[in-house]
Amino acid sequence: MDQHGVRGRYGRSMAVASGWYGTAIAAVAVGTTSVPSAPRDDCAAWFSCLSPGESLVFVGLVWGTPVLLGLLGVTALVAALVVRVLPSAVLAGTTSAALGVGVCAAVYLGRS
Amino acid sequence: MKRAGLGGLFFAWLYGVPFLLLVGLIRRVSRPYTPSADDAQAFGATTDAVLTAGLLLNGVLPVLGLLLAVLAGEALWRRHFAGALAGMVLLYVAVALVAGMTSTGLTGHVPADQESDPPVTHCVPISGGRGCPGG
Repeated sequence: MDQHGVRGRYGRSMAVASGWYGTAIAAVAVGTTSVPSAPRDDCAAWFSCLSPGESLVFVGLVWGTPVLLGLLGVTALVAALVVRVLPSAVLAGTTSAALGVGVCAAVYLGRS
Repeated sequence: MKRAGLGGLFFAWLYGVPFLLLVGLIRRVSRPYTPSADDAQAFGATTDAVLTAGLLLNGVLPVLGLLLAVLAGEALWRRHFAGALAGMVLLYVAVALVAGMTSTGLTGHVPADQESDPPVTHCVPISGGRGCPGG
């Protein structure tokens, strides 16, 4: 019974929402690293000559992980409301991910 | 087994198609470093292949899944793939909106290369403008 109730749907919609974030991150990582960039000849400054893989790890650690954790937190709150309205876990997870990104983007843009 | 297959097909569409389209669009709007014209051609061809695969799979997978789910009598996945048809239309609209913002269309774009112009080896006289030495 638990698997089909709101609680079970909540878990599955959070899995779907996490899948969206994973897909988006993977697509951005693959897309940006597949674009060749001009070789830099001035490597005097720190972090000025990172390889695509290195810069990906750097951006992920410094910027990506906190943002992703924040997004997941907001999404978890949104999903708790959305699963009560939408009967499908896939639809609820997708909507929560979209709303989570929307809310975070609105807060970020409104703040700066 | 049937359920696992239909589920695999559904999630391949749900995540695979946006992945391909996003990778293709990132490549399409980027300014790659392509030293020669051949590099630029190859880069454009790969981008086109990724975008075309995403657009084709977006059309094929939901219809195929709906067909298989109906044949297999899986009501749950039939509903999922019926929803996927609506998602398919949404994705096409989203891609069309992005394509409308580009100046040269979504596919068939070749990025600029950094090959230097061939040196001018002969003089072309322009009437009223410049003459050529000895001509």
